[in-house]
Amino acid sequence: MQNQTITMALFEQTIDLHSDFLETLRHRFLDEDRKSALKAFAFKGFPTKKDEEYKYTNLKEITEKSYSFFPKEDHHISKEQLDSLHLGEENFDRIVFINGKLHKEFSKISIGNAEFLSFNYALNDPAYREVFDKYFNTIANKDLAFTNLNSAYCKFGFFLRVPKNVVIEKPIHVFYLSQNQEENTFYNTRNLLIVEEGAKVEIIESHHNLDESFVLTNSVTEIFTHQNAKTDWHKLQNDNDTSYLVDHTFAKQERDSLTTVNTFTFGGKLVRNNLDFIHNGENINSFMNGITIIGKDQLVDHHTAVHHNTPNCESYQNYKGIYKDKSHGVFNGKVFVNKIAQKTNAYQQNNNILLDEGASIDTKPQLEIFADDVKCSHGCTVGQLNEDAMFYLRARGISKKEARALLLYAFANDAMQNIDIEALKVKVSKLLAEKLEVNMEF
Amino acid sequence: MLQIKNLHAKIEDGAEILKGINLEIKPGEVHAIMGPNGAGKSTLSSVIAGKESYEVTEGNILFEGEDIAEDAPEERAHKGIFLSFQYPVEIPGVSVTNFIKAALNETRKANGLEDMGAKEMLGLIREKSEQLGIKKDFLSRSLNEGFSGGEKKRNEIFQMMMLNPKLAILDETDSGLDIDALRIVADGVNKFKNEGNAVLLITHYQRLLNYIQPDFVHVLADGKIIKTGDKSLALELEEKGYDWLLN
Repeated sequence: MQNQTITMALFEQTIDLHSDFLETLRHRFLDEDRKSALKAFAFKGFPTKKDEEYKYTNLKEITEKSYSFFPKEDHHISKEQLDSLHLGEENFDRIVFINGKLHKEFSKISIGNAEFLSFNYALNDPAYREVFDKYFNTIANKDLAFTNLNSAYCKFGFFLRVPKNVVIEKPIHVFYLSQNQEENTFYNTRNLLIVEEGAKVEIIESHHNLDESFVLTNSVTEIFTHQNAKTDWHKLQNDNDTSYLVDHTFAKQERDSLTTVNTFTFGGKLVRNNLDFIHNGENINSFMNGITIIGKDQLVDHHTAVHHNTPNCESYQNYKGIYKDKSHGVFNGKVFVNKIAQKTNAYQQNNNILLDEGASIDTKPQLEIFADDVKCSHGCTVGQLNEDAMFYLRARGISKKEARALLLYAFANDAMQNIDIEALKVKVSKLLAEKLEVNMEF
Repeated sequence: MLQIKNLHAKIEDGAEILKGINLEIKPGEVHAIMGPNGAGKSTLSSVIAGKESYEVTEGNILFEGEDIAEDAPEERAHKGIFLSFQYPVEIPGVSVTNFIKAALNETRKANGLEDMGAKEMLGLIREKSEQLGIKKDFLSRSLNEGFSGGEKKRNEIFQMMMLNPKLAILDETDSGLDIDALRIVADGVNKFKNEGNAVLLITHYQRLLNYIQPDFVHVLADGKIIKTGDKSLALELEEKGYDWLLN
């Protein structure tokens, strides 16, 4: 058995290990759903480059490997190690998962009147059955290989419900750490966030592989922002060179609500982000910002889709990409405007700078508009740094490297406008400087 | 301080623009270069400051006796050459204060000095900005972003005063300025000016020279200096235009 799993590639493992996985669960009410999700996954398998949605992103290096589906719980992460990972803001709440397990001794949860649980705990507790029936897997797309795979195997992750009119002021930083794994490890992480009417919450999510073996994280997040509620979710993606992340985030919004998802990608060997916004009411605002700075042979792929199903709503997408060395970026931004979604205002912008000859970007805006009274704009650019601007800075005594960093900071800066957490802004600026190999504050 | 000998320069893979410039600027002097559009005035200032899209094909640029033709723009800046741009570049997200701090400390580092302390820096910023009538909130704005023409030029002069170069080249600093702004900018230049440093004014109009008195006025046309005189030459040019010199 052991030998077999090591030689098998990921697809075969997913079929083979499912019954073992189900045996690890205390709750069994989802078994049939899990089995049918696996069946749907198995029917089509992993997407290949023949699939339009994966035309520019080859998953072969992920799917050729085999992984442990059952991470070892033992770890030797110290408090100091953890402190070095957080944003330097003592005030934040933090939730720490290590090797899939929630570690309360490392976490700091001051929120009193909201329900925060590990996903598995919530599934095991019959008291949450009703809420799962109502929300779980209702907006995740069931036609996608990775979401189905996640539904079949999900156990790790968190459940958070913010009740009506509860405003959580402090950002909650959720850490997913993987450590002390000798084998490559596969995590299916599932988050469910319900922000009830008039409530407000802000989440920071980061994944950290602390080993040299590979980690594949297949994360699915469902966000429900109810009437007049506000949700901010910041994805801070700065993992090591032996990390793969495939993320699907679905955000459904009710009337008068506001939801922001920011994606800052600096690290990871291969990162695929899929972000879907679904509008279900009038006067909704949705913001999507992204800053990507990668190098070496990294690949980062952003796929976004905004479903304007209702009138008088607005969506803003602003993605900036900076590509060094032989890195490769992909941006595909879809905007669907239903014929009843009059007075929609949809804005989409993707700007890229290629710093080296070997770097490349495939960018594709895709607008499908069926209403006639709408304002939709989109644009994408691919360029190099402005020579006149470089000369201006260097003529003031700033070295070439620093001048380049300053201009790139300026380029990326407007995708940071929506961050209202100062510590996060500082962190993103620091990572930017680090990635551009300069020692400066902006 | 600056000696330019038989300087020829062209745009990378393009036409020759400077066709044998000779110019000497000594400490304590103010020189003005005037000339019609397309004469090569801005090219000359860019070439002195080291813009890489121009190629020097012949001749020398000596700064304090040292050939600087191979120096990068930042190295020239570190040696004490400052160029005030005709079109300063907008840099969103980087404040005027942070930018000038970076520029000043890089120059100090290159000259073997420690970073300037925060208190000293603040004092210097306050002193220079007050001299130019620059308000506090201006300093925290993003560099040149959304600045009016006058604000941009005032900011250039502010940076010049902060960096305190040996040679300040002011490229069309008077363009886009109303009379009040012009007076403030000229006032700044006059305060900066001393026996040890020098100023090179590049200008299309005589107007600025009412406020900053040049010791020498040169006429640049078709890549060469065709006439040199004192400040009365500027007045003559104002009256007669350039045609009488070109024919």
